[in-house]
Amino acid sequence: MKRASDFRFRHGYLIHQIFIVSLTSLSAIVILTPVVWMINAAMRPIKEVLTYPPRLDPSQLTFEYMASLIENDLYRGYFVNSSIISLSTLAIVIVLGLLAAYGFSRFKMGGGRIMLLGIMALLMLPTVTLIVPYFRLAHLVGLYDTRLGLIVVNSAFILPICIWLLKGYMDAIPVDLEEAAMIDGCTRLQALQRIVVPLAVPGIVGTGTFAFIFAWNEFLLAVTLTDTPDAQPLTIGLAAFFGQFVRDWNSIMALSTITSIPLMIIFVLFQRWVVQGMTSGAVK
Amino acid sequence: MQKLTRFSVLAAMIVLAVLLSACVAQPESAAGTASEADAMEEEVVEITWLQWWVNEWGPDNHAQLIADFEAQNPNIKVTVVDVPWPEMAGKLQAAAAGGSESYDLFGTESTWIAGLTKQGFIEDLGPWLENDPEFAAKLTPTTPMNLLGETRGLCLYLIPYQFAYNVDIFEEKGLEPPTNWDEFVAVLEALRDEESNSYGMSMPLQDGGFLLLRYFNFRLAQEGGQMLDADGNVAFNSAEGVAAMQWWKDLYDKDLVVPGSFGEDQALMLEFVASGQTAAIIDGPFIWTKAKQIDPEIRMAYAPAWTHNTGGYSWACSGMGIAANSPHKEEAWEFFKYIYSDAVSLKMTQTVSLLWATNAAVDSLADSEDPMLRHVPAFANQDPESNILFAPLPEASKLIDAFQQAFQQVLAGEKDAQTALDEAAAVWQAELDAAK
Amino acid sequence: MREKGTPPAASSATGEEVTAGKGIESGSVRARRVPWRMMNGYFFVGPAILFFLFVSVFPLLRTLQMSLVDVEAGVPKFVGIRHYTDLVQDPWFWNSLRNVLVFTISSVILHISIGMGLALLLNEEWFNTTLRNFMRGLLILPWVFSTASSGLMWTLLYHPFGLLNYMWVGLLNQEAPIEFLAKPGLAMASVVAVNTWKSYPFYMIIILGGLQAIPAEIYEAAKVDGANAWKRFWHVTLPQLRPILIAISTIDIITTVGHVDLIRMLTRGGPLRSTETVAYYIYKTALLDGNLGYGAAVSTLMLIMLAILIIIYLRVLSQGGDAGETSF
Repeated sequence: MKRASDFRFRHGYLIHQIFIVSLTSLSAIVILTPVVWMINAAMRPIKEVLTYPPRLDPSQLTFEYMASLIENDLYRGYFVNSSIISLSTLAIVIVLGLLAAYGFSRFKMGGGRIMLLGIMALLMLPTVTLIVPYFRLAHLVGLYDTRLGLIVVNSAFILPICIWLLKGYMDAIPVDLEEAAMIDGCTRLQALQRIVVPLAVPGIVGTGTFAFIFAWNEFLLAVTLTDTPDAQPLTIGLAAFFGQFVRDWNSIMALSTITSIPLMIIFVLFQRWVVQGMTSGAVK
Repeated sequence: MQKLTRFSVLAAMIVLAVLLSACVAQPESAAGTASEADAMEEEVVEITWLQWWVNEWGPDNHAQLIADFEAQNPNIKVTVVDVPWPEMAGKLQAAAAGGSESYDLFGTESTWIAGLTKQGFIEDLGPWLENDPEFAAKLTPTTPMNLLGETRGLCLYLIPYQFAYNVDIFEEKGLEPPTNWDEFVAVLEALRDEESNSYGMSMPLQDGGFLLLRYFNFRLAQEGGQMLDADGNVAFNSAEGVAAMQWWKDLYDKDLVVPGSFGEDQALMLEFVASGQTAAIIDGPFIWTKAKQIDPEIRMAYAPAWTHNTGGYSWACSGMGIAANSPHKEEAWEFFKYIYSDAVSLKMTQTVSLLWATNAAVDSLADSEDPMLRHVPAFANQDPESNILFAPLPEASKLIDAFQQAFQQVLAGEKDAQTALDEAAAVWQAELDAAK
Repeated sequence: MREKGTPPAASSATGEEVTAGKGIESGSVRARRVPWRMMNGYFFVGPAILFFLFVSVFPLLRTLQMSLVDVEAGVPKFVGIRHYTDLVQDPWFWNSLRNVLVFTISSVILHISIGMGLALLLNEEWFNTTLRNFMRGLLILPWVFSTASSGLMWTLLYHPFGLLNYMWVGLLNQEAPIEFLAKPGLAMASVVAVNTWKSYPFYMIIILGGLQAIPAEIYEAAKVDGANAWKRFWHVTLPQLRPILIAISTIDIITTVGHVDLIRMLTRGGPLRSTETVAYYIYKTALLDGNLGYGAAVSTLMLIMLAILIIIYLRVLSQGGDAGETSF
């Protein structure tokens, strides 16, 4: 049985390539069908989307729905808010997360385990339970209906996961390297910055992507902790299209398509870093 | 060296993002103090209205409503906080439990009233109505939302439920609108076409309150039953209740409604109608306006009022309440007086097909041309004693869940109507007793 | 094989062992730093802990407090553990617990196995790197959509006249459409499918990151030893990924248990309460009926159960493994 799987790899490069590429493509087709369906819905009149049998005739596609959203000042404002909230959340959780993960990974501290368990416990309460306390807290400290409030609360939700993940990556990095650097006169912080961070880049990118997307798509906290478009992110703009009876399909799908594009670009850019991180790690 | 640059790029980006957020945060607070200063000078009171109607009524329409009020009351400024309907309940509860004074008045469904009352968030409007008999006289008898004898809100618009149909499809197929329950079934049979996979109507059962009002209560009223008796005890497990439940079970078994009812919600139901996949619907008079948002060409009409054992109809409403901790209750009451005024009633009834809960609006329907609204007086008046108005209930979502469970179990053939209704009734009675 | 497969990099790296290992070659440095070691650790961990103290502890304590209080007409009343005793007798709580168990276990298994499969494919050498990077970009697509739009997208696929049923009824000539969200067992499977579709890319990326960090020499050495692909996966890849797999499965369990959005979008807990998870039950009782005390009690109990579960999970996983540092 084990021989059978071996066969693929000993037989030529070509078979191996065909196998890998076709399997990936097949998965991609299955996975992307709903996405194609969504883009279809973003580009044709709503009534046609809902008919049976479904229509996919490309000649009637229109960019009108997407264009009207892009021209809408309100939605541009939501976009700016989402960007600020997500980037700031990303910044906070990566900085605090790296430091804490390094601390947990490299030091034996009294109460370390309890702290780690406590941090995870914060994650175990579902958001639903926490929105009432957060509503009160935000009013108490004057962060209600501000972007800063959302940044802080989002960070509190994402940070535990980040610490946990980054710690996993750091545990896998050999300590010898930084110890050597410290003998050469580096401080701990310098060792973290010059040795550990570059080696952990794939992990940081993965974790960072997670933090960014979480903040970008967060909805329940945003709807509870904000009232006005000055502070509201795109998810609120999206929810506005969901009425009690009528869902504005075209706008929902157009907005989802538009907003997922920047995320895609960011990911593709960061992806280069993942690869670079790997090679630099190998060189070391 | 390369690594260092990469790290500094990351660091720079992070610093930039933090600075950016700090920068943008600043002018906001400046703007806040500026508007406060304005308020001090002109002594304008600002009231905040939490609701979900901006898109439902149309943004322009909604803005005009506020602008007119502010023109009439220069000393009051209304801030609208619009929350999508699915999030309203959560937002209200958070505000109630958080002890917030952010909202002075708010839209509410009758199912949320008990929860808000428990938090002490909602003002008893009884004394307000007593002190203002002129205003109270404008309201219909069913307008006050009463929970255990106290008026916790006022219905803003009343909703009767009746069979509505797509006029074009009916004309095309040569069908007449049904005038009673048997014709209703016959019409559904005529509309079922296995070849083109089309159905007469769909029957969404995913939302408990929805199935209770549109299906069970409608048939129950026509059977001559009531949800609760005069003393406020459970009465839906009566013979009439069992007959009503059995009727829907029989219909469901005939393969005349779109499959997948248990997983269907009201939005999907409307989409089926608006896209021509189904030709009929049981819903409120505003449903045509809603369908037009999907297909502007669609023509819909109500069937004439039906009578079975009685001519009763199922009614519900969405309403408004005032926050008990609001420092501006007087101003909020002024806004109430405006929104229930004759002018607004007539305008809203005509423009968005919502039957405003005022006498002016109800009277205006007598000579309405609207193919939906013109039937509404008959629903209200042909047998007023047998109408069922869905009133606020304690632990509403728990009770509705229990009822939905019973309804679905009967339709799925897991239980017979009497057993299932008795079980639900036991849950209801226990909560009702506890609330007293 | 086993020895070769056990990577030096994954060996434990807690402060304790660092000290032991370094002691020989840099004794003087170590001696000087010993008292500082603990302080240093707090210095690194401190900012995050302070942040949590300010932001997260208040809501946590408030939830605990709420669970002991009942509010009547706006007046809080201390009721002790009454909510908890009610809870134990609440059949719907146990129902939701059963549902969340099914939901979580199937979601976690699918997330990680699909994520692992695709990560392995994407980590292979492709004849064209650009194509591979493009595929990577494509495969994370489901993750970047908001839950609301993915839920809606799937409604469009699932409904009786939707794409899937068009294929089933229209193309395969089946008699009745599949009622994806309307049959109790099937509805849960449909929700799990959407949840898997929505979240697997995160696990794929994380596993991919882990795969890339595995030094190529280990594979080379295994190849020289004549290990086939399956053996290499079992003895090299898996042990190397172990800490990461433990971490992400833990995170997955925790986040899936707390998940509400998709269920709210797709089924609202139905049909016949078969997809009502604990978190959704909390949403209903706390936010729709205003029983915040009861909701808080459910949350607290869930937190305790989850914490116990996670501790057991991590203890079991770290037994005999070299990933002891991931346990508490």
